[in-house]
Amino acid sequence: MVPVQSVIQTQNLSKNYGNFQALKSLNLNVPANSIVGFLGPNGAGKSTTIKLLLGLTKPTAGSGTIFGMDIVNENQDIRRRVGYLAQNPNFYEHMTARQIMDFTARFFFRGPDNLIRARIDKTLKLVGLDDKADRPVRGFSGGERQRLGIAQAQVNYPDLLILDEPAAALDPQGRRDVLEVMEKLRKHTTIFFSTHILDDVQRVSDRVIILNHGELIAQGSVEELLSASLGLNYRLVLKGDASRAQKHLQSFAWIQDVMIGHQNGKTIMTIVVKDVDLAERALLREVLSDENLIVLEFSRNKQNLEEVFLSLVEGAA
Amino acid sequence: MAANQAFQLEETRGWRMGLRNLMRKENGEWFKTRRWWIQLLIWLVLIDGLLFFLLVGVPQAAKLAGQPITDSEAFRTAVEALFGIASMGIGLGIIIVTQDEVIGEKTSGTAAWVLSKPASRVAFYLSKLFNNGVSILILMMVIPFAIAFGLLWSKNPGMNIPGFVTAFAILVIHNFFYLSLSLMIGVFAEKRSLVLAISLAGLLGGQLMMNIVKELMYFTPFGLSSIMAGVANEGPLALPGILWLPVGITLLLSLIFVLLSIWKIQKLEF
Repeated sequence: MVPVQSVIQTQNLSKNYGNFQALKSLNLNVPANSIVGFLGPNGAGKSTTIKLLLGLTKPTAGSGTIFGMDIVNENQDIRRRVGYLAQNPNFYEHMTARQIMDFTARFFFRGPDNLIRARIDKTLKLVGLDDKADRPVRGFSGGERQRLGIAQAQVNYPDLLILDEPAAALDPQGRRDVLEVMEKLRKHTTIFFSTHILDDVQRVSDRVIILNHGELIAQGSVEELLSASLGLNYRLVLKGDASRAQKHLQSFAWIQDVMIGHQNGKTIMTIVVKDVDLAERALLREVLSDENLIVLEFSRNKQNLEEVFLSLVEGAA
Repeated sequence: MAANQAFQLEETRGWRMGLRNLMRKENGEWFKTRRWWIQLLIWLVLIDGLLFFLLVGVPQAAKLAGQPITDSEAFRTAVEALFGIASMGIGLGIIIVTQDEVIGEKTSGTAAWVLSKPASRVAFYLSKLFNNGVSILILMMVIPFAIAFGLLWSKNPGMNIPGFVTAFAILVIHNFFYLSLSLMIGVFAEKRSLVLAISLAGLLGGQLMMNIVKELMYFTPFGLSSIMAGVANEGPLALPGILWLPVGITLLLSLIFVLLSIWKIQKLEF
């Protein structure tokens, strides 16, 4: 198997503000060309981590790399390849959206002017601000500012896009638009975004990193998190006596538990498994081996990310 | 980044990274907004309006009051008042105009946004120092004083031109002191009110202290306004050597403020 290249890696990255430990020995791994949701309640240390990665603040201990470059000593080179949207983005109020874009673009490009103009037009169109390009930012709504924030972060077509709460100030339609933009950018860039909107993470992320009280409490693909934290379980609705099937199933090592209940004259069997692959291949067959049983329904119980998140965060607390 | 191949990439590194773009932006803050003509108008009215009144209005008023003053007396008083009021007035103006330059960006988050781009912190500070310095020099000093020079010369073609030019140079040093002070406090402080309070205390409190302890004149910037008036009327050679000391000290302090600002901005956490 070819190892996946990491874009962001941190080793015991820590940050203290006086006696307060904002970040405790964080070990992150963000693979290339992925969308990674960075989750955590308010004050978990998400923005602190992002600022450390961008060199806006310095770590108290530990280290980190982006594209293999040190976040403290090679920060200038890192920033050439990164686009960043701050939480509650603030721009120069008297400037128009086009001027903000031009100002941002010229940190990366000297010219030619016509290409810079074309890139700005294209990026503003991508976020739906092309018709407001020449309006001063001071008249923009929260959602428009957020979209301008994404546009300016994207103007240099960065290899890594770091977005701090990109959908926080948006209405449902705005959120959908932002997620669609992120989906479009997935092909070209790695996206690392912090949020507390769990639906958004579940919708677009390949991987999830959960932080609480400055500590990493989970990291992995959405599927892995859903499987690992609450366990996988299957639900069967049966007709007939299920006690023999229950004993039979409990004899398998890949089955953790089998529970039986009754509802409206039907038997409800809940089976918690340890190995999802084996369960998918063999579980139904083993149940059907009891010829006295009739299977009316068979389904896998799905937990959503919100349940996982709350259980992890509350568990950690 | 393959899509960027057609662009000429900005590849400046080190402390100059982003400087060109930041300079362009800071320059635009002055000259692509109405700020430049508002400031110019204010200082033309304050400096040249006042001088015109002193040169034309005051002698006529004195004549009407039956206490005529000579042209030479009127000229001398006008020059003294010009440099006295200009040093205090422009110093105050600089503090007001620049008090929000750094701290405003720190508190609003625009500094963090800019510094997340390929821009060095030194470039961020220097672009503010240079552009505010040049804009203030042109709009608050060079243009109003060129007109003031015209007014004075039309009244007295035999005026001491080297004296006037030297006094103007001291005025520039004096005002650079308050510019570097105001920006430095913006870099160090966390609150807007602190920038204004400390800078104003330096300007107004300094003058007050000098009235109590006269010796401060010899080694602080607070006595420069009196020195300017003397130099403008008598010429640079008439100035006793000891009075050049506060000029040198002011310049040195300004440079120290700049260096401290550059040191501190690299340590800031955004």
